[in-house]
Amino acid sequence: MRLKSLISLGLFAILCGCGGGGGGGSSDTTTTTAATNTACGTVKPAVPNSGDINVQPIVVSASINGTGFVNTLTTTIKVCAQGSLVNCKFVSNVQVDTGSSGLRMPNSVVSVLNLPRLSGANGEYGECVEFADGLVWGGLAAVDVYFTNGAAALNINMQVLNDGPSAGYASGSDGVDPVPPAANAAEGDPGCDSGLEDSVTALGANGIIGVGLFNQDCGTDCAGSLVPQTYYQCPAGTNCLETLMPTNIQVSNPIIFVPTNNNGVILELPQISVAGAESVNGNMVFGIGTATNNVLAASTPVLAVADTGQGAGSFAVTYNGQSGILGFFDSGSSVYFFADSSIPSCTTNTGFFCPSSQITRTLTATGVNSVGGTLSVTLENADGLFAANTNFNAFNDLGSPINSLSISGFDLGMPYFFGNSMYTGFESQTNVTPNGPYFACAPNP
Amino acid sequence: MRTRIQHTLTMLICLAYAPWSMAALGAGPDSVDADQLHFKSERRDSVQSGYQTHELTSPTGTVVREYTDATGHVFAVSWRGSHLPDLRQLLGVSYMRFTAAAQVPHGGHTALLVHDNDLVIESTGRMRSFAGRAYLPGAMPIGVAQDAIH
Repeated sequence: MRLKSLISLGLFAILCGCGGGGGGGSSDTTTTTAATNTACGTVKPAVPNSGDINVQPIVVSASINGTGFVNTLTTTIKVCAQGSLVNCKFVSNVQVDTGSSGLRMPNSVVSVLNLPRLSGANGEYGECVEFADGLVWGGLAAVDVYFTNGAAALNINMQVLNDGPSAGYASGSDGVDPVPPAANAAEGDPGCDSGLEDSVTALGANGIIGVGLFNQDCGTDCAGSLVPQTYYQCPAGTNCLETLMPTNIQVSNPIIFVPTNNNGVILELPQISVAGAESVNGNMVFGIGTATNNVLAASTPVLAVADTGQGAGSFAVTYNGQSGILGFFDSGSSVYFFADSSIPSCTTNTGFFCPSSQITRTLTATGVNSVGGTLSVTLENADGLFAANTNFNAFNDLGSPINSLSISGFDLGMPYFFGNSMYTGFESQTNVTPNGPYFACAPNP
Repeated sequence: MRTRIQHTLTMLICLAYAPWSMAALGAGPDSVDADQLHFKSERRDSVQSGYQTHELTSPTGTVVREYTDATGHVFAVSWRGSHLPDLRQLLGVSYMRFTAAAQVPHGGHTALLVHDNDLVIESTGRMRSFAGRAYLPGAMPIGVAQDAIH
C-alpha cells in the first residue's frame, strides 16, 4: 500500500505508506529520548497488578483497517443497555483518546443492542461533534460500561454515530437517529455537514473512548447558550433545532463515573526501539493519587492547563525561540505535529518529517501555574522506518509538519507516550495541587 | 420569455440563498459582508501593508479573520476559538477539497492538512480549542508571507 499524501492525522492513527522507497537509515539500537525532560518527573509509579480494579489493558497493534494506520491506542470494553446485565456487547478496538471526552461508537457497532435514543421535550436529542477534520453526527443513548477488571461507569450517555443512510437518517423511532440538521438561517445555524467520519472505516476504530481533561464534551458553553454545531432536539419529521444542554446529560468522560478512582487517568506504555514495534501492551490506570498504583510523586512537575478560553487544555510552549505556543499531550494524535522548516519532509510518505538521520529537538513546557521544564522529542526518517518493517504499528519517533506554530501549536502525540506514564488530571478535581485540569509525566513503571 | 423566467428564477434562488452560498476564501469583496451576517459577528477591519484584515467575532467567541487584497478578494482566512466556525461557509469552493481530504482514510481528527500548490488548509485542535487557517498561495499579494496569516 502506497501513500499518496498524508492528508490528516491525529486522533487516531496515521496512514503509513508501507513499501515506499529510500530514506534515512533506521538503526536497531534501542534508545530512549534521554536528553532533557525536566518537565517530567523521575519517580515511577508502582507497577500495577494486572487484576487491580482500576487497571484497564491498552494496546497499540494492527489497526482494525489493516495495514496503513500506526500508533492507534485501543482497548476493549463491555457496553450494555442501561440497567441490563444481558443486553451487552464486548467491543474491541475502541480508541483511547486523551484529547476528547465521551464515548462514541458507530451505529453499526452497537445496533445489536437496540439502544433507545434519549429525547427532550421537543424530540430526540442529536449531537454534532466538532473535530478538526470535520463534524460527526448522532443520537444519544444511556449505557452501562464495564471495564476489564470490574470497574463500571453506569448510566452514562454515549453518542451513537450515524454511519450511513442504511443505518439511520429516519427520524423518530427508538434505535434510529434523527436526520442531521440542515442549515437554519433563522437560527444562524449552519447545520451539521456530517457523514464523512462516522463509520468504523473512517474512524479506524470501533469507537472512541474520550478520557480527556474535561468532564463533558461541550460543558457549560452548551448549558448556558445555544451553540451552533453542538446539541439539538429533533422534532419528528422536521429540521432539528439548537438546544440548551445541561451538563449532567451531555456526553461525558466515562471515567468520572467510575467509583473512587475517577479524578484522572494514567496511560502507561513501555519504551520501544527507535525502529518501532509490531505491538505494544500497556495499562490505563484510573485515578491519580487514589490508590497505591496511581501515585503522583511530590517531585513530579504538574503542568496545569487553562480550563476555558482559547488555551483550554494547553500549557505554554517555547520552541526555536518562539514563545506563547499552545502545547499539549494527546494519545489521539498519532505523531508529533509542529512547525520546523529546518527538518525535511518525506518524499514518499509526504506529510511526515524525514530527517536524514535521527534527531532530537527540545522545547520548553510551562503550565499556567508556572511549573514546567524541558521536553525532548526524537524524530526518525519516516520513509526509512516504514520501508524497513512493513508490519510495524508502533513508533516513538514520527512527526508531521504543520506550517504555523502560532496557530496550530505543538502537539505531543503518541510517540511521547512510549516509555512514559502520562497523567491526565480532570477538571475541578482537587486532591492534587494545582487542581485539574492538568498534565504530568513520569517514567513508565 | 422562457429565458427571462429562468433568469428571474435563478435570481430568486440566488437571493434566497445569498447569505449561505457566498463563499469567503477566494471570493470577492461582498463576501466579508456575507460572512459577517452569516456568523452574526462583530467586525473589526484594519489595514496592513498590501492587504486588509477583517476580524469577525461570533457570539460564541470564535474569531474568524479574513484577509483581502487590494481588489477586495479574500486570499486567506484563519479561525480560532472554543468552537469551529462554519467551514463550509468560510472555505467556499475550497470546502470540497477539505471534505475530499477528510474522506481519504486518514490519521484522525486532531488535524486535517491540505498542502497543495494552489491551496493550503491547516485545521487543527481538540474539543474546546480549535484553530486553523487556509490560503491560496497563488493569490497572496506580493510581499505578504504565509506567516502573516495567523
